[in-house]
Amino acid sequence: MKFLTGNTEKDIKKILTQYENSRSAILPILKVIQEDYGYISDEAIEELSEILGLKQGEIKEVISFYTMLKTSPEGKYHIQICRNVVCYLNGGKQLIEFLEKEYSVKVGSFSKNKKLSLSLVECIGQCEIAPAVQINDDFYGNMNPEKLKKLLTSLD
Amino acid sequence: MEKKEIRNSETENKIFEPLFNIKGIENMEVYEKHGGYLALKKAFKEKKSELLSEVKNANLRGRGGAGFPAGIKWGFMPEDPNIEKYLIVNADEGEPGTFKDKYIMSKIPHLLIEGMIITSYIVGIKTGYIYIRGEYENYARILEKAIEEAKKKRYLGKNILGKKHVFNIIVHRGAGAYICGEETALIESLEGKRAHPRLKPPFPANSGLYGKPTLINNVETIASIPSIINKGGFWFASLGTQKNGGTRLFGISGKVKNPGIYELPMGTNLKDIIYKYAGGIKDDKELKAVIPGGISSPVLTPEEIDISMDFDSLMKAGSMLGSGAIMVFDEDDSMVEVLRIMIDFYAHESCGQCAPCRYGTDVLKKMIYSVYNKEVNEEILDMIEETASGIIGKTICPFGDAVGMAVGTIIRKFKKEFFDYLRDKND
Ligand SMILES: Cc1cc2nc3c(=O)[nH]c(=O)nc-3n(C[C@H](O)[C@H](O)[C@H](O)COP(=O)(O)O)c2cc1C
Ligand code: SF4
Ligand code: FES
Repeated sequence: MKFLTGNTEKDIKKILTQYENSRSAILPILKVIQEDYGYISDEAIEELSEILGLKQGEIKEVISFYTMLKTSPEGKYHIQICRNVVCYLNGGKQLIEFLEKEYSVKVGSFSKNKKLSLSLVECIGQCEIAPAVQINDDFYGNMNPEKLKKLLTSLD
Repeated sequence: MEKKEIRNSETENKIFEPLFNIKGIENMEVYEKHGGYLALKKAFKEKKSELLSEVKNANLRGRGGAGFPAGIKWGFMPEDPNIEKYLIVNADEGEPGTFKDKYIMSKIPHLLIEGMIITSYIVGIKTGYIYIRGEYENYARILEKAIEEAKKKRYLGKNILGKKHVFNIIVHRGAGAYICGEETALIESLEGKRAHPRLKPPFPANSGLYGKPTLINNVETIASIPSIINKGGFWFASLGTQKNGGTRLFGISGKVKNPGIYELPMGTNLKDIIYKYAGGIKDDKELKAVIPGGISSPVLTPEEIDISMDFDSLMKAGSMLGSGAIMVFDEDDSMVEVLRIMIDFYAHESCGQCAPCRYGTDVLKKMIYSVYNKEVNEEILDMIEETASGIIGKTICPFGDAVGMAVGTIIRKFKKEFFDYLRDKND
């Protein structure tokens, strides 16, 4: 049974035409799979290994190297809190403590209805608006616990 | 991105700031209305060797961190037009404290694209990649939209401006790994592998992407090229100091009143950047420390900030200009906490390829946490310093040196604070 079908299959073909060496297409393809299916499953890896002519182990090695690639499902909204120096010392610490104590979200786990997942990340290039948070593709700066709570309530 | 105003308007001798402030300049039409793509048209009428001389005259030094002169690097690329070559723009922007390239990419994407096309013309390159960190998806989309506009205008593709020149740009997204910013790791990543830095030599100019000669420059470096072509290399050089041409996008963050991005001449005094431009220390507290060029650049004490922000002066002071990312700490910021965060970062981001770096960061992390948790006495501070300096010079890429320098320096310069922290066990 084919696993990567429909738009995913189309997107993969399109990406492959962009690169002269098909292996170079691995990160963009893995991201498309993750975008469409929520994470990169064993079935996807199996099929991708045929498409790219790589061993499954080689693909897994790549996946495990990059923190944005996931082999298990995430929440619909992935909340990333910067833990690097500027954010941490300028209000980020309070954000992390707030989420751990008062909200039902724990680092790495889901909210009750599985919509939110949380991780702490290194600098996301928004230090001038520290503390910064990334939710899916969007950045939010000058955060504080109340603002974050409002934002999360609007998503959940 | 939330808007942070770009302040101060001595715009005459600036490259980026005047453009940042123009509404809609991310669109082709507005960009062209403000002189966009004139440098490209000018360049295509001139001899490649003369254009290369302009870049050399500009004293443009790489804005990614190391400050290598761009003109000299370009000169290492083989001239033979039959040899396939690549251009890679390093848009990984992962060095903690750094946020400057995002302003160029999100606000003036066409300036980067124009710079890339001119570069490709001078060096004789058909394919260019922008390797952008995965978290910057929204900026990647802005770049792709601008590339589509440039294709429609036939600034990209075949027969650009009626010349035989062919050039295409692909935006390639990373997937979350700091080490991808190191140029050879970036190449490995672009080849679809784990981002393990390569031993140098060979340098990318000889053997880079797919083993072919490859020119890698930072976003800010390449985006400086149109101004050099428009106004001349000597003009650009005159903006900065003798060996550091041009302006620099200084990103300042932390405990200052007005954090943000400031375009200032190379060689601007660090004290002025903090007190004059960024408004001084927040809540008028006491300044404690400054990291001048991203987290990998060794920390400066308040006594050391009367310094010219250029590559050579900071090197002489035992630090680095790096990515121009200035991080400011005040009396409330604990240097023990700063070191703890720093080592978490390094231990997490070491690619694990060389033992001194992999074990060194692990051991340092254990030692630093034992300090953080007050489980040890001050003798360990010398051991941390020793372990840190033991990594320097023994690794494949400069990441290991950065760990050694940054960790060692923070302990050396703030030893008293570490002593006090450990003695005050009830704190
Ligand atoms: C660990 C490490 C991380 C780096 N990260 C970046 C980065 O995020 N962006 C960048 O432009 N250069 C980065 N560099 C520097 C690149 O290796 C390379 O020197 C640079 O892209 C060359 O361009 P330039 O000469 O225009 O500065 C990094 C270097 C090291 C050792
Ligand atoms: S110094 Fe560290 S990051 Fe660089 S190659 Fe060695 S292990 Fe990897
Ligand atoms: S330190 Fe948090 S975004 Fe840079």
